[in-house]
Amino acid sequence: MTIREAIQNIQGFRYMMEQLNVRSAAGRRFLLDIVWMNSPEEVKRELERVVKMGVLLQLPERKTDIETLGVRLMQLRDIRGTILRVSAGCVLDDLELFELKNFALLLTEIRHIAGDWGIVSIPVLDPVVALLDPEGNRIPHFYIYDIYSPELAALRAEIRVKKQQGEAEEEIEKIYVRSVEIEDQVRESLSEELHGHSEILQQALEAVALLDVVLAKAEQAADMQLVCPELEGEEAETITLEGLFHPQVRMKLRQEGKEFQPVDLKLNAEATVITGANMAGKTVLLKSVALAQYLVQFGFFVPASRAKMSLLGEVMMSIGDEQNELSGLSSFAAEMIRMNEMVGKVKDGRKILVLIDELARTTNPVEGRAIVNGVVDFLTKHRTMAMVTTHYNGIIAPCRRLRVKGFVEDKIKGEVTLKNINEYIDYSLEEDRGNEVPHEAMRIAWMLGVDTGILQTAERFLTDRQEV
Amino acid sequence: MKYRSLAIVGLEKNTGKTECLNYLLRQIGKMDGQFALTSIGIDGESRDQVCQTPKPEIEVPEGMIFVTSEKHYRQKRLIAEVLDISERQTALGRLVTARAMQAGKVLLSGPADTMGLKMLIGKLMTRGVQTTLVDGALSRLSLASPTVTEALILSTGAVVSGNIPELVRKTRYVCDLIALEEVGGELQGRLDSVEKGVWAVTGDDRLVDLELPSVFMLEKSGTDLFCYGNRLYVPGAVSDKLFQFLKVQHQPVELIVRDFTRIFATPEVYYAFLRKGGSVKVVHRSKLLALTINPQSPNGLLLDSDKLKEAMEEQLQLPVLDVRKIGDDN
Repeated sequence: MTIREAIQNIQGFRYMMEQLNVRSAAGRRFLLDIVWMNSPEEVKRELERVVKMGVLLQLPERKTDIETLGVRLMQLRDIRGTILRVSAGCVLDDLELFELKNFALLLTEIRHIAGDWGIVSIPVLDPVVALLDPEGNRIPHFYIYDIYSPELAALRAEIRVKKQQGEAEEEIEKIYVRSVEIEDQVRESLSEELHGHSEILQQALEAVALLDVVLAKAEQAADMQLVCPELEGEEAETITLEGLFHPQVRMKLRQEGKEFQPVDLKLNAEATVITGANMAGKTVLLKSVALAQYLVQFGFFVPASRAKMSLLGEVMMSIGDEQNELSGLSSFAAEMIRMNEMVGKVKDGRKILVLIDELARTTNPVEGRAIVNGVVDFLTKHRTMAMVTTHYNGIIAPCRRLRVKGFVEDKIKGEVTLKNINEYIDYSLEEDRGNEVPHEAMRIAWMLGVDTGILQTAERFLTDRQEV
Repeated sequence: MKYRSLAIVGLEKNTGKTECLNYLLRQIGKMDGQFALTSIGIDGESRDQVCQTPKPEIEVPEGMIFVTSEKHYRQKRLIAEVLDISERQTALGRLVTARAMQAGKVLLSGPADTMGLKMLIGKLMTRGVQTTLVDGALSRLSLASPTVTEALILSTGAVVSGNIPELVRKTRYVCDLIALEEVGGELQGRLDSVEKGVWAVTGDDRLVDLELPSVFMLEKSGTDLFCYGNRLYVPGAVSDKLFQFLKVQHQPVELIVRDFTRIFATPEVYYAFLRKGGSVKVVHRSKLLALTINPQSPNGLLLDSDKLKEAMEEQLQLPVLDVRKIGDDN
């Protein structure tokens, strides 16, 4: 999977990629083409680049360099198409030669700034500069200079003289045609020589695109207070996240003058069932874990204060509000098909992370509970790292249980209202020994100001049932 | 030349705009300073392809900077140095900025919208260009308005009308529109940022959206358009229908339009609106420097050049040049 595909899967991940200040078109393309990595060495190498860049960003004496680099990257054009034509041995026109010269000069300047940072190795393009800047002006303009061919220079001079003498158009035209032929010969030999440098041009373009992405990653990490994740060994299957948050949700809360409460979490190769009242942030928790896993797989820092993570083959998610409602299936059917797909992958021995939000919630509680038990049992038996949230009680299949602390009336002073209700919720997780779920739905419905008549009737049903 | 940008626009095709431009370029070739040349869009080009008549090429003097599309750059017939290639695409590819190393012919095409043209002129100034000449088009098909430039030269000729008084009358109408008073102060900037809809302008220069999808919905809307005062701003096209509607209001209306190219009304309706006490202002105005006339039309009609020139000068109080004569002086 590439980032281009991944941003379709996770909204929070798309948000982070959109927020990245990648300056060049080449950098943006490079970013979208980054592939999901599976080897810790590969990920470590990418993370180290970001760490190094982060250190430079902190140094006051590097400020000017970084700013200049930013400007140069903005001037960079994605000349991949032109480089492909160089590789293919095509004869280039003046516009393509101009692009190459411009690129080679810009790259030389970028190399001068960032070449010794030890972050990205930038190839030397001096031979390309020499070819396209025969007069050594170091100005990014281009035409077929007189210096390329004495014959061309002579013909051009002749045209000039004849024009001044007012010679017949046809006479001048003949010389002009001849000069154009020579220009073409020059283009041909330039293209041929450039063809020999096509590989290094390709490398140079990728190198600056990478540099651009690394700079953007490091800036974002500093901006959003992301952390460099430690990586577990190849075999390990645990995730430890301290102070985990969701940048997009945090940003929205901040716009309303609220704060996101970060959460600590440790996952092992087993099913973890998460319970908690409505509005207790279970869905956001799953999304935050998914986001952190995606980020590390693509070599990014993660939104947490400390992170120790294993690399996985895939994250399988079943979160209600992200499903495709257009598939023509009922939500239950779509969910069951996703479950089956997940089961298939676990059986294949794939190292995956399973995140399921309120499994079987759209069907009746009796069968729903049975399905949750069945899935949890399967996940635990297959030692699959999984998080399953549910409102059902009576989940007796073997699993680890966590519970969102939830509603704490004395967390802050004052009256609970719809507007401040979030402030009364403690989003942290605690181990849960029993298999009872919190009964806070009615309380929250009261606070949300749902019709009194309905709630009174509902409460009567609730007591009647308990008495029975 | 004291203007930083100058557009040459033809009242219609075959009014001798290209001759006028080539004449100007020859004059400029003798002057000091850096000049640049570009065009608005490809509007004229496409119509020429329909008529199968080749678009006249422009003779760029040595040393001049010109901007044209990739496609036309590749067809150029002169030696030129590439200075820049735009990132934005036009219908004919990216825009190439180049300097003529030796005089020669090139087809011009340029930014297709007003904003692009404005940015291009700004960018050329940073390259040390003193004045940018714009080969303009006066057409409802063109998204870019030549009024982005500070000054204008208008080309007119026998192709517009074969009858001298009629030709003068038609030309005069356009000159009147070009001369419309410009909105000043902070209001100008506020109006400039609005590109569609119908707006009321209050007594204290505030803009209120009348929430009409277009001026064509005016009569059908039940709301009182003049509850904020008698000033209306219409950034889009303004037609006879709007003027007729505004003419019959109880109080005289002041209509503000983006620039004169947005007015597509016939002279009769426009002047009737003014006679009823209405007035029109523009957000952008260019100064009309001169008029060129082409007494010959493509169907062979030839007007008396001296009489035409005399009639124009008398009516319009502007320098008038015959393109066929200025074409010969070199």
